[in-house]
Amino acid sequence: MTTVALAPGSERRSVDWIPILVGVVTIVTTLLFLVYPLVRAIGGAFVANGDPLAIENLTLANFERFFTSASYKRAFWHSLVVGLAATLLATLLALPLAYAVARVDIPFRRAIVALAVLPLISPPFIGAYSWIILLGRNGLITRAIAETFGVQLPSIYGPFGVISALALGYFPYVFLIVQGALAASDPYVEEAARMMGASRWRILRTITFPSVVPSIAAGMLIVFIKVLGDFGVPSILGGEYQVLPTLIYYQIHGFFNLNAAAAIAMVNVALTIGALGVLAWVNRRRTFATLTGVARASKRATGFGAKLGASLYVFTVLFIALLPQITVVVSSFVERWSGSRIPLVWGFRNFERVFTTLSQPVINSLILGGTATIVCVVFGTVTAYYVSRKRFFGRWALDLTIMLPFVLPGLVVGVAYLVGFNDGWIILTGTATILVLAYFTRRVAYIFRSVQAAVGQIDGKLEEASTLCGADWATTMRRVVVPLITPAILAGAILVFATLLGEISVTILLFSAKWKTISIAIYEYVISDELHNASAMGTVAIVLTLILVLGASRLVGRSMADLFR
Amino acid sequence: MTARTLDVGGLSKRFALAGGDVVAVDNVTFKVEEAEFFTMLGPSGCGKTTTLRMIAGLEEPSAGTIVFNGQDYTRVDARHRNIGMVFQSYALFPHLTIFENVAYGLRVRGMSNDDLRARVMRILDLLGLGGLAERHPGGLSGGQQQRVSIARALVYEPGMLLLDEPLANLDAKLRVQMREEIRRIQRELGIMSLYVTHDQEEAMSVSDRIAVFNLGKLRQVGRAEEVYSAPATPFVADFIGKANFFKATAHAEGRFVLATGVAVSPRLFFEMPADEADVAGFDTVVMLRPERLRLDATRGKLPCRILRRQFLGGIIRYSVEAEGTKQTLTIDAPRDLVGTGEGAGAFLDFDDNDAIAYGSAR
Repeated sequence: MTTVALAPGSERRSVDWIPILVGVVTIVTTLLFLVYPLVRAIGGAFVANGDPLAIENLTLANFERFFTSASYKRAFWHSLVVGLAATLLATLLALPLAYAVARVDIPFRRAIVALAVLPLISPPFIGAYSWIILLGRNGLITRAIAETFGVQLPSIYGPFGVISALALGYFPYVFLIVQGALAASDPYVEEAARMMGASRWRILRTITFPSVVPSIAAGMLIVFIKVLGDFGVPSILGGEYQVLPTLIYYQIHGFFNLNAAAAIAMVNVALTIGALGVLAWVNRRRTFATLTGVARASKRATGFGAKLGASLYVFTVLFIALLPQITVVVSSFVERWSGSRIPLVWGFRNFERVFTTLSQPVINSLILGGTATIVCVVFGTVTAYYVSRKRFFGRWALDLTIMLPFVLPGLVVGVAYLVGFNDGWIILTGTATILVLAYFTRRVAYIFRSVQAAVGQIDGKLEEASTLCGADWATTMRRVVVPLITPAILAGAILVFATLLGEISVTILLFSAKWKTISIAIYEYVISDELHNASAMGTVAIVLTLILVLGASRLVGRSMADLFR
Repeated sequence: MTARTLDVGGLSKRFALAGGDVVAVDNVTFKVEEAEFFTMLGPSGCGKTTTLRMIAGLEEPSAGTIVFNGQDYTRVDARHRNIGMVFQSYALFPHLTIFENVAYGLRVRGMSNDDLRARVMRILDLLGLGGLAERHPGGLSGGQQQRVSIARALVYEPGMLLLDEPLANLDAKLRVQMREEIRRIQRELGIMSLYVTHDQEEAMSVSDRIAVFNLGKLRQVGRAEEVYSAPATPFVADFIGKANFFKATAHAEGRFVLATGVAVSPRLFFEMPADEADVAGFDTVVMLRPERLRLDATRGKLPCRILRRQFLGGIIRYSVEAEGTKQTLTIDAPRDLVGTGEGAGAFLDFDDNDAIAYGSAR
């Protein structure tokens, strides 16, 4: 008989140093790259511009302007109005869409859900200027209507354009969450109501709708937070109509008044926290959970009328939501287009420029995004595994790292980084490192969530079985855990990378001339009215994003939409 | 070579919870002999699985020792214990083939490819899985997955085999079939096995000895017959088979008087554990098995009234209320008692020799 012996070695339990290491790294990372800049920014908000942070210098002057300065007051109210209006509009668009996709047997349902993710990944500002192409003063549709009917459309610049573009850019959050909840809800409950004689409308009103209210509230909250923090759309379509993020931007780029910017950022965050409070209140008032996960899918309406109506609505909304992306791609092939309704010259000249003389931003984006993605993958995977499997003492720090950036708009993180790393112990402004770190804090949650879900799916007994078979920790990781979570890591990584391609709100504050990204290049082209270059650059971003997302979906074998729910 | 035995001494496990410590396993001591099939039986939360996991090295004991073949295992890392374990959820690696699942422990041990192949195929054949080697676990039935899990645990010839509710996820018929198969393989390989279950019939049918757990404590260890005929506590009596408890008072010379006034001299007396008085309902009780009670239309020790009569095939089960008590008793009779329908009066009878008393020692 062959004797199979386990490799000799230290058979005694040794101190498990890996959780300690993970805990220390997590806490250091959080303190250094999140808490430290934030605390400095908060401190900075309470001293006047140019004063050092000291007790005798403390002042509320930066906040006083919200009561004295007309532009501050306007920006505050505009932010609130835009936030509420865009959230409401997005919800009104999304709810029928969610119901139609979840409960009516319309064609191409999977494709619809997949397409709905697109606006979330390619940021609204890329599309925002295509509304200028279509509906601007000299826009395609504006001119067509003026020439045909002699009617001048109202200006796209201002609140109307900002609210519409934001609602169209962010409504998929509500759609995806509510559609998921509707599709997963217990069909037996509704059948029970029908057996008791309730009409279809009554079931919708008294059973279906109340059961998805928490999902609706969660979706609305995400939209509200995203809209409040959005810089790109109001800066392109807002014109004179300023909101808090654009105010922050002008305080920094106009006056380099970091202290004023920090104060505005705090007010911006206060609005977000207020919204979170409202959500908590809504959820407290209706506490119920879906009782069981039911294997059976909900029933879908199959009547011809329902299918036709639902399809019409769904495809119209999707078309309008994707029109900006379509416009950008189409116009990127246009070389000359002046004074006529049809483009004069088509060609690839725009792309030639993007890939030759203008290629540096593309390269920069790939480098910065790639590096940040790798950092996110390493940190996010390790911490997600430890949170799911082990107890470790860095838990509070991790919750901060994952949750805070969700509440903090990108511009606020940008301000904090500017304040925190412009002087003092660590000076990083103007470097690529500061962009990578900011991207990391903004995006690590994607990897973390994706991996945490995957580890949660793995029976912990698998690792125990491996250990009892004699495998050490490293072998168990390499042969059991990592193979099983690789798809989740890749999906998260692709999502991080794809969304970083269009990141603007952090980048606009932290980039330097040497490290201009695709999004900054597009923004500058739009501002200087070089729309052809902007379109070509935008198309590069959209196409890259699309390829990445399709690849990720195929890889993970589930829809990318799940990552946004 | 010394005999392969497992000595568990004073094993305890405390979990720190917000509301204070919870004692999951409380000072458990037992010994398992070479090639023995030893079952830990009890309701959920009784500490049997925690005990098994401490033996496996997956939980660290708060106190006590685990000694295997004279070697102290208490603080040895799980992976160095050379133990095979079968989990309730099977815990098969979903990304590996059946062959690779079973080969896992051998690859960890650095076995050469040829030896490994031969060894894996031999154990797969032993479990009737030869044709499934290249399949993935996802495509297998529950019974097949369970066999793979057993093969994986046995292939590296572990010192002992631990089975944690291995049949709980199978349907009733397959459960009976699999437990016989587990017993067959265990005998064939002569491997010491520790088996955890909450199913008393399962425990009685396969085990050499049974350890009954309740509330973290080991109540009794013994062969199935011993545990059934001389249960050491009211809980064991109630958990293994059915038990009727009569409220009683203790008198001198081993005599007990039932609440109805009848005097009994039970065959056995056990001290009632402090935490089990509510199992029997009273501080001092006399226990009688349902098949040891006789029902008669005309004479007997206790007058009673028949509440319900159920025909169960091999036996007829009567539920009766003894006169002067509100207690419902169960009687399993081999045949019908003519003229005693539901609602009718009758008499209960029993032999003192079948009675067991529990109470505090005087």
